Formats: sequence, structure tokens, C-alpha cells
Amino acid sequence: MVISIIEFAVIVILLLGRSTKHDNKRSRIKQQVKSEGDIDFGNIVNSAFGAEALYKELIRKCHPDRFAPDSEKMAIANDITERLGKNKNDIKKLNELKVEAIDKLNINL
Amino acid sequence: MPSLVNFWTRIIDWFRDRQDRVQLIAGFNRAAREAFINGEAPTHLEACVSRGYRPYKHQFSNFFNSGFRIKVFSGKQLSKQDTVNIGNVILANDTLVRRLVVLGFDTLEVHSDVGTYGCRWQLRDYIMIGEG
Repeated sequence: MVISIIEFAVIVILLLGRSTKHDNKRSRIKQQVKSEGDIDFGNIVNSAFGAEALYKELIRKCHPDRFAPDSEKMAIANDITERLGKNKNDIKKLNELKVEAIDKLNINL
Repeated sequence: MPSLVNFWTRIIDWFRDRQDRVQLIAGFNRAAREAFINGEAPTHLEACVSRGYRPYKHQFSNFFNSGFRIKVFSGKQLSKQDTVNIGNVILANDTLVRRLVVLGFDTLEVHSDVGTYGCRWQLRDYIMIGEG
């Protein structure tokens, strides 16, 4: 009986006496990440099925080599292509880039 | 006494995290269902919790059930490329990956409802957390 009580006391002391420094850091990170705002799940689900095809089409139509004679358009195409690579899995961003490409590069999509 | 308060806070945090996990999964499933009903997605995706893969553990991992699994109801065996595409879309969303990690997930799994294999990723590889 005495041994059981001692064991229980040791367990309680160990549980309560754990260092809180590490826990504080973890909670801080958790709070920071949770406060980042809502996640657009609709965009994620749509991207899973539509992003790849749209990316392939855009990257083909906006390739800088297609605008070689016009240096201004070539620079814009370079910029768009770079951003396409960064957002290849985000259909919302790809649609924005599509509008920009149609507007600035006069391409037919 | 401060230790007791700290212990109590830890219990409250555990319940809060659990609620956040449920809300995250419910949010994903709601969006997937709407996309499928509206015809934006050709197949239905469903997120659920799985056991995870023990070697992928990190400092935020849950002791049990640390996997975030996405089931694709396609009615056929998915090609590896399709599976990888779905996984890449999830991993490309930094906010979602960070949220998954702090909520105790360490493994992302994608597989179809037919067949015996799928793909899994270690979430820790796609995030820089606990540094600095």
C-alpha cells in the first residue's frame, strides 16, 4: 500500500514538474500557425483536378520564345512563366495569370 | 500550484487541438463534397485520420493516429501520377501543411478506394518549424 502511494506520488510529481519552457515554445508556434487565417479548401480540391491541365496549357502558350521579336512582351512572358512555375498547383492563381496573359500578351486561350 | 495550472492548460489544449483537427477534416470534406456535387471535381475526395507512419514522427505528432489520409472515390485504381498530383496540391499549400503539422499530423496519405497501394509523404519535409 505504502509503495503504491509512493509510486503514485512520484508519477504526479513527474507529470506536474515537467519543464514548461519547451511547452511554451510549442504553444507559441501553435498559436502563430492557427492565427494564419482560413484555408481555402475549395481551391485545394479544384486544384487537385484542374491545375495541371491549365498549367500545361499556359506554360505552352506563354513561353518566352514565342514572343522573341518583341523584347517587351518577352520580358512579360518571362515574368508570367516564372510565376506560373511558383503557382503550378494553385488553380486560383493560375486563373489570375491566365487573365493577365490574355490581357498583356494578346494570346488566344 | 503553477505546475497544476500548467497541467490543466495542457489538458485544455489537448481538447482544443482535437476540436481543431475535427474542424479541419470536416472543412475539407465539405469543400470536396460541394466541388463534386457542382461538377468541378470529377471524383469525390474524402479526408480522414489514419494511423500514420511511425518513422515520420516529429515534435508535434500525436501519439496515435497521426496520419492525414485522402481517399479518392474514383471506382478504379488511380495511376501513380494522379496520386502524386493530388498529394502535390496539398503539399503546395503552405498554410495547410503548417496547420496539419501543429495539429499533430506527420504523414500525408493519398489512395483510391480500389487497389492496394497509395502514396505517403512526410509532412516534416515540407515545413520549417521549431527552428529559430
